[in-house]
Amino acid sequence: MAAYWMLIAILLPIAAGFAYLALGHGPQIVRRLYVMGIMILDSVLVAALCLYTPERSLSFMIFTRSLTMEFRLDGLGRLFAALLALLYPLTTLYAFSYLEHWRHNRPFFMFFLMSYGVTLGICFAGNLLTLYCFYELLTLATVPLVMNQMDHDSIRAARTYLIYSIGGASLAFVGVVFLIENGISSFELGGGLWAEEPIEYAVYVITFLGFSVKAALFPAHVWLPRASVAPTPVTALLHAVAVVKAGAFAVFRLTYYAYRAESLRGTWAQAVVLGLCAVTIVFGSVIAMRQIHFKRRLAYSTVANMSYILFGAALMTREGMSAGMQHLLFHAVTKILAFFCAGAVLHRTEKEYIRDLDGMGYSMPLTFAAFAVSSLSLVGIPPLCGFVSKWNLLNAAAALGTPWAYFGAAALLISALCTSIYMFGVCARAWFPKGGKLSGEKNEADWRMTVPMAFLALTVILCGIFAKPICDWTFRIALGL
Amino acid sequence: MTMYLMLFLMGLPVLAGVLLHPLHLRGAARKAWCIVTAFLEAAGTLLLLFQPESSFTVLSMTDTLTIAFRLDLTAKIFAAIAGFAWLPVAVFAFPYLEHEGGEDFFFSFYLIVEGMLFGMDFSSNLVTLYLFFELVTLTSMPLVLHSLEKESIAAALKYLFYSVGGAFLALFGIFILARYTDSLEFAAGGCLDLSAVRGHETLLLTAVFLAVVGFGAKAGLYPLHGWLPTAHPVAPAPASAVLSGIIAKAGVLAIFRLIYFSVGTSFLAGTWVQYAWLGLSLLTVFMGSMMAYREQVFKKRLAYSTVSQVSYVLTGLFLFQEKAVAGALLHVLFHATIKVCLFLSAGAVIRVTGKTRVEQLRGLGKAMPVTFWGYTLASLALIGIPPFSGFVSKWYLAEGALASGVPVYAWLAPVILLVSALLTAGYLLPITISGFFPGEGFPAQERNEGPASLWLPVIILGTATLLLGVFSAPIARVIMTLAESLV
Repeated sequence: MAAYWMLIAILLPIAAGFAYLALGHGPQIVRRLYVMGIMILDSVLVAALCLYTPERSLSFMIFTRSLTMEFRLDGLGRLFAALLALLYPLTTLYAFSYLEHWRHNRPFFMFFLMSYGVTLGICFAGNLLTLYCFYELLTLATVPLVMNQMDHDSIRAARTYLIYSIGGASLAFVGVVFLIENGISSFELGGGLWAEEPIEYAVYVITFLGFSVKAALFPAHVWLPRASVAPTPVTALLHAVAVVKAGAFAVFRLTYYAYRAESLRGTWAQAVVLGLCAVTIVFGSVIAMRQIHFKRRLAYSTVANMSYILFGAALMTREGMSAGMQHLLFHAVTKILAFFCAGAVLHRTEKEYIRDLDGMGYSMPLTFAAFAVSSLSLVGIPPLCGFVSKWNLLNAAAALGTPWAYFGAAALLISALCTSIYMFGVCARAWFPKGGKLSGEKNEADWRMTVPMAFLALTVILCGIFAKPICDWTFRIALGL
Repeated sequence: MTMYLMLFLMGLPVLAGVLLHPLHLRGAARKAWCIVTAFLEAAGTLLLLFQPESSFTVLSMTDTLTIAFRLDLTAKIFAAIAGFAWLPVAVFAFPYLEHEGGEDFFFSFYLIVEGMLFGMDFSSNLVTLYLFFELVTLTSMPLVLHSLEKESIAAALKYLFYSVGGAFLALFGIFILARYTDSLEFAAGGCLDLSAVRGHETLLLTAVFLAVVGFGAKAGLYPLHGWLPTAHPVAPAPASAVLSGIIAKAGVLAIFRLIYFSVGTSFLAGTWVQYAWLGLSLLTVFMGSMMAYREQVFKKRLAYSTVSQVSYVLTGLFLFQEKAVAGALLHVLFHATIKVCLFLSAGAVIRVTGKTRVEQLRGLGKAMPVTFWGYTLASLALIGIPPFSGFVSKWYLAEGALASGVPVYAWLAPVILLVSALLTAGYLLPITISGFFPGEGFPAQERNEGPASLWLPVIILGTATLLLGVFSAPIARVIMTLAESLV
């Protein structure tokens, strides 16, 4: 396909978002068909782009020779784009049901559409400048989604999110400038900067920290649990997949495409980032156990799991990169499923706290069956997909064999135990209520929620059972094939 | 044929358990459904014992992560205890649960666990073993929280987290081990790549040590034994029976497979790891007996007894001596029979009289003679009085320990086993004595044993503990060949 299709895939949802405002007072069915139509159209376009990848890159807005906007689609970008193309239409369907009686659903769908285009921009970014631009845009496009409810809490959450994200991006900006000054223009696997000087290590650490704010690395994780006040489709898609994974994606780009990963392996820079990831893994899991608010517990779980991905990235080996990418995919489907379940409960019964979930498994059987699948995968029970990526992460850590890698591997296992406690605790409450209130009124979510949940639960199972092609694919990406 | 039989044994109970609730079976139909399933499983197990060895792969997730099954002698031993014990306990469970309700709930999971246990017995590599270890935990946990009271839910969660925590400890060991083995498939003597190990011995030893401690959670090995005495008193008696008698052996199986089929004893013999394991297991033997001796709640006493007795088995496995290994495997068989019988008799007492504490059992021998006879036979077997079955396995264990040549433990182990046997007599026999001989002036009691399905399994299993001892020679011979091929 011609390279300009990438630009169209990015601009289509953004333009459609603006156009949605004009359409805003039309009948609901028209608006829904419009949103769904755009989502599916764009996803088909992205799928086509992934299958028939443009050979050439697309450059435009050439400010100077080193400052250009460039779009290019390589393996890593395809991986993330394919994930988005799968999840955006599903979440849209879910959101139709969730936002049925919502007051502010006009701005919601407008920004929701735009966030799709912007995230695709991150996937397709061919150099650091482009990545950085879309990275900032993603913050701006998603802030209105966080404060969609326009009450005190959500505005506060949006403000926190804005401050953290912009702050992180400005840290990363240091690195972007530094790398561009050093002649790193386009991303190329193994073609980045060979770090030798202390300043180059320091810049790596700073940039890593900057990009990983979006991936909720300790101590910059604060925004993520707070942002769980947002409507569930946002928490599910953006705060478990698109936004946080964009942070991890940027870290992959930085580590393997802007730097030469080999040059960082075994240095103090690696020790710092591995250590921080390990700390976040344990920290997020432990705090998640102590949360009594359902969505916030899942948010802390995301904090921990995002650091699994960053940990894989920071191993600076092909195995680590490949395992990190696997966890990026598998955690995305698993966690969005968990959030969908939490949202379905919230939507049907307005129960936000875990203590209120007693016996809910019998009134919402499908939802909690799906939640059980998600729990099993997140804990890492074979043959579900969460196990495969964890296994490969542990193997990659052991292959590197430095003390920090073992430290991280231990953190992963402690976290797995914590995960079993905070996820199975919810399942146990829902299915085995105290006092045996087994019968409950059937109050299942409608098909627009259950279909995405069932589909994702099936995906989680199938991705685990047929993990081999996916693992091979990520490994080929890590090899640059 | 063998493959289909194995799949049948794994699949049938899962299918039957899953369908139980949706089919809305009630009363006799439900009873027939469960008992026929358990019966088919027992018949299938009997058939399985005469099948040739075989193996097959079900699924390859990635190159190293495969789900594969095999049938060998080890699998047969462990499958036998699950297959044969499930039927009498199922028969017992129906009258037991009559007044508690929630039969659908209980029997669904009761049947599913059996399938999972077969999966674990048949697993052919560490990944499959780990998978089914977790699944056994997840599906047996609902048996514990059957009453849905606060304490039983807390106990079930304790069991869940101890077992899952142990499994993760084991997983840590497995993935380090995976780096130093040719494959994760089981092979007698292990498949360690010694040239790769060189220079990393400490790491590997630590990993294997932790893995065994982790798997030990299910077998009640100190320090992860804590869930057993909490879970047993609150679980229904049939659940306690299979948890103690059969599911605890799943931990033993995992440890046995790890040591003898993945790592190999030659690498472990004489290292600090072996001594540490022996220390832990002997500590558990002694501590479990002591706690049982002091405990006044009947089922809790039996739970501590399980803690102690399963560590007999582990001690035998950690000695790396063929007689000790044979003794351990014999004790797996015998202890399963004995402990199921003991828990069922405790359950029969609870069901008929509602009495849970040891001192309340005075004079009950007159009211429930058959149950108490079954209890007494099993007690004598557990203490190890010839010609009961427990004697045979303990004899092998002691002989193996003395011949093992492991410093200190070679004599310490038999001493502790002996002391523990005394304690066993001390905590089991008083119940028989005060049951049959309440003393003068004790009011005579009406005979009331409850329905036959309550006492028949008890007396049958009690007799089996005696017969297994009397006719132990052929079993011991087969197991001895297995043990000799491993050490």
